[in-house]
Amino acid sequence: MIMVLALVLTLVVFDQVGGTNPIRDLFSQVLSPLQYVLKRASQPAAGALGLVGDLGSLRTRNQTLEQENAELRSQLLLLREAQIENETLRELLSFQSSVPNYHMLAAEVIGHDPNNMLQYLLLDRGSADGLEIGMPVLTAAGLVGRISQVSQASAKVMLITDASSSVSALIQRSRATGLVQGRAGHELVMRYIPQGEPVEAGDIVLTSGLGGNFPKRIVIGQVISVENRDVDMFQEARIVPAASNLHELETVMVVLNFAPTDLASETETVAP
Amino acid sequence: MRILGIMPDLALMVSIVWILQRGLAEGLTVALVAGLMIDMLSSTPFGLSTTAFFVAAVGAGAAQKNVFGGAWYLPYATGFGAALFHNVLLVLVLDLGGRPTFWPALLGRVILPAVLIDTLAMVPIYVGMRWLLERFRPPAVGWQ
Repeated sequence: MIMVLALVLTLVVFDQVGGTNPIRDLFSQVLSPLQYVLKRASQPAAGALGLVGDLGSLRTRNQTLEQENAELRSQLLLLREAQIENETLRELLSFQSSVPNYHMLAAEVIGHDPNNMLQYLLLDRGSADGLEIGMPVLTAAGLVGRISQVSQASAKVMLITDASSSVSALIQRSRATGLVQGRAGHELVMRYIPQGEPVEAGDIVLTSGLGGNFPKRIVIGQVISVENRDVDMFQEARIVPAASNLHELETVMVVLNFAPTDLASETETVAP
Repeated sequence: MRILGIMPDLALMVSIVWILQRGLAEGLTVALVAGLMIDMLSSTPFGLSTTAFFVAAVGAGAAQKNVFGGAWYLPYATGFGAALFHNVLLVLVLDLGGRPTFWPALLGRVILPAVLIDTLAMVPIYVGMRWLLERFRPPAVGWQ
């Protein structure tokens, strides 16, 4: 015991005078790579042990993050929708400023006629917003139809592609007049174009204003083909609507300051 | 939802499947309610879809009992017949009401595609509804 204590004491004194430094250096050089390897190897194990300890809080955190992720996704969808709506409204606003004579009201399409034979849209605006039967409905691209039925909070629009719809029209280039009518299968046909009037594919068709049902010079569509037979009195042109895909419209504009002329009542008034 | 510009007549197909799965009495009630809903939403003369659905439902019930029995193609054959009947009746009534109808164009561009799409739509509707009705066994639909 005394010998051990004497040895320790000697080593302490030896260490104090720096005698153990070479031995320490030697140990350090031999052991430090081993120490490094052991440290690196123990890190994942320590991580795993920490993970086990944190499992409860990680689960809670994961749930929170998943919830947050779902909320952000939903917000992103809403933002995309808002962006699309914004673009549509911007387009309509720019159209409205290009035709200052018209007092227009934007309306959202909230439904379609469930029947394939009829081409109608349902709008979220009604008589409470100033809508009346016969008012024209447009988009920035062109004519969509006219109001055919109004209730307090909603209105039905007969599309120009409906078989009952007919619009007085003219070809922009040649000023040839005719009647644009709807056909089965969302088609438009311009009928009663006098023979000899130059009409060809690509011509733009506008409302003529004749009959007083629609304002003048609203784009209806573009001619895609012309049927011209010598035996017929008139030519017929197939037209693609300018407001393409009328069944996918989301927002439209109703012209509030255009009252269609009721020719029947005017005739009655004039007749003796 | 439109397929090639045609809206499938889902309400009519659901009514037909209901008849085939749950019997004529229940199916007629479903057809009546579905027809009334379509009439409320559509611009066609009121009662037209209700009548068409009702008659088509009776026809489907009779076909199940007397013509096709338990044939695998029963839902598709009755769906085809019901869709054809509904569309033709609709055009006839609209025609009589003074609406311009150009039969060749209507047949080629609306009626036949609509009947075809309705019949095709019957596949997922029949399979899905049969599973749902067998899985959840809803209480009988009818008038108390």
